[in-house]
Amino acid sequence: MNIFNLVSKNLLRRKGRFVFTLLGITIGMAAFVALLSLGSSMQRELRAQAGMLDANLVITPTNWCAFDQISILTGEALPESLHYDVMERISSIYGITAVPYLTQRTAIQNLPVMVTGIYPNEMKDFRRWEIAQGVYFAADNERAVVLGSSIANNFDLNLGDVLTIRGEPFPVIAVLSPTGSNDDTSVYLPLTVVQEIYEIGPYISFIVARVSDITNMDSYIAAIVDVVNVSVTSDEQLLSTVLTMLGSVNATLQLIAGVALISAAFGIANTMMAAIYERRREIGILRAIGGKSSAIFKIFLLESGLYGLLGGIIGVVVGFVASIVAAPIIAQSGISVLMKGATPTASFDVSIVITAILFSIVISVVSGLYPALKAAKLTPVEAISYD
Amino acid sequence: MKKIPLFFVLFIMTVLIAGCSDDNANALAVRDIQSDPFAFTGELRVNGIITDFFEHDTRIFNLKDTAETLVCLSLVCDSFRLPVIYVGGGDIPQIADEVDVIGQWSDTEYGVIFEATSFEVRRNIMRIIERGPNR
Repeated sequence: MNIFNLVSKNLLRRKGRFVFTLLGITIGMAAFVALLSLGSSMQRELRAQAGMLDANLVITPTNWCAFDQISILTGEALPESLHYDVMERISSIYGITAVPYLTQRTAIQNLPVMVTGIYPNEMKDFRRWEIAQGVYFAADNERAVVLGSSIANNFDLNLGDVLTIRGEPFPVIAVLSPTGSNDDTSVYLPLTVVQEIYEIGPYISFIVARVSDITNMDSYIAAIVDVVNVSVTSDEQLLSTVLTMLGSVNATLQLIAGVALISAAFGIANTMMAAIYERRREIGILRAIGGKSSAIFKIFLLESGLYGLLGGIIGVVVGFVASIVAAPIIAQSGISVLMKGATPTASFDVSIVITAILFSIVISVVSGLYPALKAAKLTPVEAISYD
Repeated sequence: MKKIPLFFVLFIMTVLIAGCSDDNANALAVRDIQSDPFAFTGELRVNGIITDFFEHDTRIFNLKDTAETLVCLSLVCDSFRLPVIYVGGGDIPQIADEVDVIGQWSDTEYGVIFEATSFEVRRNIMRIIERGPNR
């Protein structure tokens, strides 16, 4: 009988104990993989949203807190805090193309949706929108709405349907082609109309800008700050701030999964210790017929390593399934406070699979070290004389 | 031995059901309704943090957006607060409680405000606010 047959036979000798020990490491690994997978998908989602912002600079009021900054990437409604004058002064700087955003909320079929006030023509060019159905705004003060593609699909809205916003009816005149960004999830109206119906006055939420020479970013930022008192962030800085905050949330979640793994490791150590006491006589016989202590050590270490391998593989599968189930729930829960709007989706990542399985094996082998050493140190007389 | 797979299946199902059931998944955030509150009709479940009580009528309290409070770590910053009048019986929630209030818009002696007939306290976040930012 080779060593691998011996190891697998030993493991399956007490099937109940084998299943429960395996369950411990499997659940720990599943939690670890699910959190790792969701964390990386959240990061990817944010990077994608930042890319789709397709702007070099984001201009916000100086008093905005981190939540507001994050909301730009995640597509949440934001307070109207910048005076319209700011927009005009920034637009007058040579080399900068800027568009204002005024983000509010309303409800369709009792579900919250975003309403964005825009400069119709400038925004269409800036965002490179294409019209899937209908005719786009003909005037800057047209009292009608254009829908993002997801809004039209999710609420089954068609051209000519009427949306009531702040008690006023607005006909749907066009639907945008899908963009894959947050643009798909908003209802668009001309800026002046949103300012009027929401009784906001001459204010906007924030401005995004594109510069003609990205190697000169600092000088553009300096030029903006020179003419208006605002906070100017490059798209990369914004993303980096958000990812840093997300990183600390991820680290906390992984720590929780780590605790589950450590308790699973103690479970393996406990199982291996029990196995040694049960198999003392067998160890003694092996030693008596010439088995080396290194061979005994190897057998027990392989047994605990096998727990890690099996637990790792099953845990990866369960973890990915759990992340698929959990993704939509997390998108609506307190865990994703920082992620509101950016829906995490489960994602299969080979590096996570390899890391998780290796990590599982290492943890199991480490937890099996002490029991294996104990088994290897038993002398034949000690082992056989055990009753 | 045949009982183990059955136990295993039951265990996994219990974990999944416990993990998937989220009674509060459909709660609206304060931020969702602040711009156009009356666009939401019928019975609503609104989630938020209690910031203060009306001095002359402790049935009335203000709710602030949970996500905003947790990121900004302040109950008193200058942001929108949703006034709620609680007309159900029993205990009332406390300041810094994260609650789901269930009710609807109603014309009361204070004008049209959100009238909650029941509430569920999820947790109290005062300690989180007092601990301050960890970044």
